[in-house]
Amino acid sequence: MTDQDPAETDDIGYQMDISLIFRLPPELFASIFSFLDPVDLANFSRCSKQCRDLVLPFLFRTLRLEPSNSQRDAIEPGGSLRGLRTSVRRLIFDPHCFKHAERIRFYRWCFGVLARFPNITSIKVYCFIYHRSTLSRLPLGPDTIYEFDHSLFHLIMSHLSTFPFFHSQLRSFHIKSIRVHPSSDLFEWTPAEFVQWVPEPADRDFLAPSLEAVRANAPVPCPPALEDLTLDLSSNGYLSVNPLTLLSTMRSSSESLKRFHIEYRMKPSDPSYIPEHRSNKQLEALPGLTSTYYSVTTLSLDYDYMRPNFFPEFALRFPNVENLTVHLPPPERLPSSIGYVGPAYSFLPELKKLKRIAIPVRKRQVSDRKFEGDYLSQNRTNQIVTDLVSKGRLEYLSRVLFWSRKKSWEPLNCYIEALSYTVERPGTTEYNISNARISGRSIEELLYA
Amino acid sequence: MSTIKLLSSDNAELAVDKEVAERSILIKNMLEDVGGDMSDQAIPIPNVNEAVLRKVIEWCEHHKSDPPPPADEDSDSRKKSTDIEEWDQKFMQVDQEMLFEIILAANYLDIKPLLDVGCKTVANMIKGKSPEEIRKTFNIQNDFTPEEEDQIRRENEWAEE
Repeated sequence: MTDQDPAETDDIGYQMDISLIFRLPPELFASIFSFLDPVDLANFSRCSKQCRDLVLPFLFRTLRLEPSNSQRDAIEPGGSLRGLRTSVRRLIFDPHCFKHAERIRFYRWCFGVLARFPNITSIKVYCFIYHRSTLSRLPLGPDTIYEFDHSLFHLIMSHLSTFPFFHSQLRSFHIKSIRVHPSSDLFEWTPAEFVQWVPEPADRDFLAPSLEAVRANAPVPCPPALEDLTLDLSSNGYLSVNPLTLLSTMRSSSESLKRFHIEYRMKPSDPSYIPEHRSNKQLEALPGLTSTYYSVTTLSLDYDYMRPNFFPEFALRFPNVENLTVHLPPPERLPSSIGYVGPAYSFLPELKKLKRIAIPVRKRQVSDRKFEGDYLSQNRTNQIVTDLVSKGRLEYLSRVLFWSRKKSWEPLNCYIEALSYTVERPGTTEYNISNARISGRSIEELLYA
Repeated sequence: MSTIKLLSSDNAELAVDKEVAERSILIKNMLEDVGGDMSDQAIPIPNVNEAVLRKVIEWCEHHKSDPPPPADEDSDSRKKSTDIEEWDQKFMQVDQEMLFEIILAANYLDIKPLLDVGCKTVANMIKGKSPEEIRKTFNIQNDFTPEEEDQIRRENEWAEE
């Protein structure tokens, strides 16, 4: 509120220097901001000092931590963002640097400042993981990439578990790996620099317990209230640790989890999909899940090693799924040693609670490397949807999406071509199916429309 | 139907149907406290002048038979829609002086749905605009130095959805 007497401004209105908007008390600004996007909040914060003070706690519900001195200064006591203590709900750890020593120091710093943000409910971590050939030069212990990936996840989870919010309110966790190959442009270090690097004692203390825990096969601490879990361990042409293996090592994750999202993809630009040290045999088996996740209602599988015989296993482990999204790599991106597998529709009736599904359309193989058109004709997809809703099998099913990516290697929310079916049930036994051909929207948009 | 009287800050007495006035939780609670009968005595509304009070009553008249608003959902849930129904949009086509007075009155009188319409209206005046356009809209003076503006642009990159 301004100290302006309202009666004085009546006649001259907003000719006055002081904006009328500041007559509103802060709690009403909170209500206004609740209707705005981050980009609008950011623009409002640039209008004036008073605007910025008002909007700051709402603008920074999510804070992306990065290794920069200016950010360090800003969130230290006395810095421009020091007041954000209680308003931050979500933190992103984004090392965006590729020098090993700096990354380790950055994670250490992240865990150091974490205690300043007691109301965290969500965390996203970017991991930059090195290829084995560079990793073997790191004086860190295990020299296989597999173990190192494991230890990173373990490292983050065990350090997080020392904070109270981990046990009371951490509801969402997202890990995204970015693999750095020594030939990559992103890789700034010369091998000589690598060899010279000796970790500080503090780095060793920071890393050692999780490396030991991984070697001892200890379970990964899991936040007891965790509802959303995204394990995006897509690799840059080399296999990283399988997200399902990680899930099965998480202690008691089977009780609270509602939404589970796996991304485990290969970048097609690299011809060496399958590294020498792992055989195709290992890929043919689904890592054993030892728990059944009754609480999961949304499951998204973007899993490049999916085979028809894996689907029944998923149906068994996630029996209460209502929303299912299945992604498969485009056929031309798979090496011939694996061969392309189409979605196995036969498992769907096992998921009795299904409401919405998005499944990929297989393209027809016309020659060795050439695929075109829809493998599934409209007649065929009609038949599949009719089968699913008739015979009383999937009584909650309301939307079915058959989709294909417009481009081969696209992010998850890529623009797609889709056949979308809406199931309407006017009575208990009657139903109508309407379908539409759609293109140029994301799967999530179409599935939840 | 019983009628009650409201006394504005500038001493204007306005007669209102009890049912309409009870859209204000403040007045509703007040009437319950005194046991109902206020027919001979005007209720003072010291924070709201006659012009604004008339506007607020107009809104309450129009919305007198609306169902009660749903209970407050989790404030952390997804961003709320800024859609405003047509009658309310027209109702809110007033100068900013009046707009902010209505919001303040709705807050004081505890009329949640009217407060929401007001806040949505202000949100829509900010939405999609550049900082310069927002300043113009609300007559806000830019008191940042160019160096501070640079710093803010950098800091805002640390905020994400």
